[in-house]
Amino acid sequence: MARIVKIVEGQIDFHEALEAARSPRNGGLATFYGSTRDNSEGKSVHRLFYEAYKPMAVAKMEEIADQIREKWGVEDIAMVHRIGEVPIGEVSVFIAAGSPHRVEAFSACRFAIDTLKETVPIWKKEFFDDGEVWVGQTPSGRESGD
Amino acid sequence: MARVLADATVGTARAAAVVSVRLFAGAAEATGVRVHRMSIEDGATVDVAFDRMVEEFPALAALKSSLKFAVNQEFVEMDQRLSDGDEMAVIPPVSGG
Repeated sequence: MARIVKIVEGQIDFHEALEAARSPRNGGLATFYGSTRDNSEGKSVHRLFYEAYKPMAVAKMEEIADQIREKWGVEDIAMVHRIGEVPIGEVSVFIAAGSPHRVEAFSACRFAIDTLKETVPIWKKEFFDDGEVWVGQTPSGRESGD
Repeated sequence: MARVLADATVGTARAAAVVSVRLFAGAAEATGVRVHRMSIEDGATVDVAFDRMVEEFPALAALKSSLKFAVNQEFVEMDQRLSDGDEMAVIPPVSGG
């Protein structure tokens, strides 16, 4: 059993994360790579910056890993989020879930990224030609979604 | 832990709690502040603490409807009571991933 949950600055170590989720008892390993896009709602994005409330973010990611163990019995999981400046096209979040069978691995991986995006205190800022915006936060407080 | 502040208006003493409030992303930018230590009445709610923050940093008022709050790194409701040494966080809509 291996679990990696962390927030890093600089490039994510995929090898380390994959090795945490890989095991001889696992016949399936599902992964999700979230990468920074060069566009958002029709506008060109030049760069992205992520900020985290680090101790709470790690605690929330640990909770997600606990929920995954309870729901699907999946114990081999890696969840790594990168913060700070992330160049366009690089990976900002990586999830790997290993399980004896593929269905649980896919479900765990999907649940991990979906729940992370909803509950983990991490924020993304997009920089455009004509300004910048914290995604989901507009001056009116309207949710722009993602 | 709780300190005692003189309350001049009624001539009595009331326990006060020192709470540190952390702000992030748009809330930090709107106020120019990332950590703010405040002294409030022991047992005051998050709602009361946030109103105090708005008095000091009026830019927070416009964000209120979009914010969530955490105390000691757990999401809480506005009626959560605060004690001395608590860390309260102002959490704008999250957008990780």
